[in-house]
Amino acid sequence: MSGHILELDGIHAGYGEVRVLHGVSLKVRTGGVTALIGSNGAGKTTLLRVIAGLLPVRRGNLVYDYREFTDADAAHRVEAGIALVPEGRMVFPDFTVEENLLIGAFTPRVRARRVELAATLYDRYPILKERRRQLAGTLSGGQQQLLAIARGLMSEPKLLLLDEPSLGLSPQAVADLFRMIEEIRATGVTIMLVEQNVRSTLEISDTAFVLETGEIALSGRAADLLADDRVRQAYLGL
Amino acid sequence: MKAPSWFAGPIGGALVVALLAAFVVPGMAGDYGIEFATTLVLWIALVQSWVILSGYTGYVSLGHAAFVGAGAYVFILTWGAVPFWFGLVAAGFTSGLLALIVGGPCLRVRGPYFVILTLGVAEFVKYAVINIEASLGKFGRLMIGTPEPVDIYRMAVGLAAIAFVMALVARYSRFGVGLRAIRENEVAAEMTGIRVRWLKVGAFGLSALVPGVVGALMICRTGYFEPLQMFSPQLSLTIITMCVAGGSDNPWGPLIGALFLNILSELLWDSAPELYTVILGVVLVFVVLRMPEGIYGTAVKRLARRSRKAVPGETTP
Repeated sequence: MSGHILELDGIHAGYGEVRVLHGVSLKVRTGGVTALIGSNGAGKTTLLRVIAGLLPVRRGNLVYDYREFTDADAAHRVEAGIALVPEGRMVFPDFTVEENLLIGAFTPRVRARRVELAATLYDRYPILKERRRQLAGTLSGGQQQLLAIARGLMSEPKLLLLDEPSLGLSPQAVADLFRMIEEIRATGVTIMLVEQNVRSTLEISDTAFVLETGEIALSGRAADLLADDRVRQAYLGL
Repeated sequence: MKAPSWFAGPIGGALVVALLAAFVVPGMAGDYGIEFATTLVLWIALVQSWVILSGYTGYVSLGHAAFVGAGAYVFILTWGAVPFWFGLVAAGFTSGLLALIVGGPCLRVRGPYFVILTLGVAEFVKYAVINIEASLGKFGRLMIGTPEPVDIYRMAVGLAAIAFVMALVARYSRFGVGLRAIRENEVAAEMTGIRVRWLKVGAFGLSALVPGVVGALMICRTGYFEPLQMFSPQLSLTIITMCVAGGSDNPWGPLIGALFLNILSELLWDSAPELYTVILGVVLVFVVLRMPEGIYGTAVKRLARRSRKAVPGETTP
């Protein structure tokens, strides 16, 4: 594999007076799964929000697909192929499953093909087809997560950002979720995965970054980090 | 997400109803009837314009009076200097422009902050106009040669039909999908590539066009412009009351809310003048408590449950 789909250089960001990211630099390889791990409050969600364009970059540089994206708004990034599946899923609760999916293809690049894109996802995830007329707010947690990811896939992303997708799911649903992530990876989409579930995450990831208090503390091949004493002590409790 | 041809039915229906209202009602009703019908139709125009922003996105505006007042003010300033129709159009576009200007900063905040901010902006515009008038030595302006009540009524009917079609197209187009996604979850809407800020400000601008013209027609009725009356917050509150009573996720709810409140208050005013506001209050409390989605929203839900199948496009509140 060669090339980097995303390159961050000295990213600073925060909320009002609160500075969360203090110069984050990292490169995400095209293809495969890149894990971002770190304790609560380290800035993982903030970093994903910056990459998705929901939070402005205060200092630093963001290059996506070899193009300058530091100041692009969220809609431009969706159009260019970045999709965020946020923490807490954030499906539209009073819209049906189908309406949620179709809104996922709001961006002009895929708009005209939204019905066929939805049909493809119905084939891949039959439960969504079964529930297509149901209000999204009435789905189980695992089904809502599936819907949130499927909504993200409706924009045919090149880079899929998953923020804590396993949060609040049953063990069975978590297992299904990790299988789903591997399937998506096999379709050639680059995945950036933020997770508390460090062991399972490192096991399916190629590369990993450890974020601590707004800076990258460690990085390397996921398999190496899984064996690293510092990671084992801090995040795996070994 | 529906084909544009879907609009043909309701738009044709609105046209037929408007033509009937414009040309049949005046023959049947006396002066009193015309006055009542004009009031009703102007309220319908106002509530239809209000839902485009506040109903669909959930950004509840208490500032609609500012657009009514601004339209009225521009109309009186240009009165006699420009052709009548030109004055009406100018009134609408001035209010739309005002909304685009104040919408940018106002729509940065959500929920109660937005409600209070719009009320504040409306009061600010009101006192600005009062002070401008005072510095010009004017305390109210008279208009001479306003149109006949029947003609004002017909213009009001046309305006209400336009407002209804605007609210309908805004609701069932892609624009409306974006607006309702903002109401459901603004962050998720932005994430899916919806240009949230443009949509909100655009909806605010669109929702202010019709009230500007309503303001112009209102002063044509009285033949008099007086800022305290035209910029009254009472007007904004009444719009919200009608939309809450009827339901505000589509054009039908506010239509029913306006009919319900106007007809009910007219009947009560006529039959029980002493108890009129008390009964009206009790009825409204009942509606809000028992029908949180408004008369229309609740009726649709009940009917859908009874027939055990979804009504297309109407099942999502």
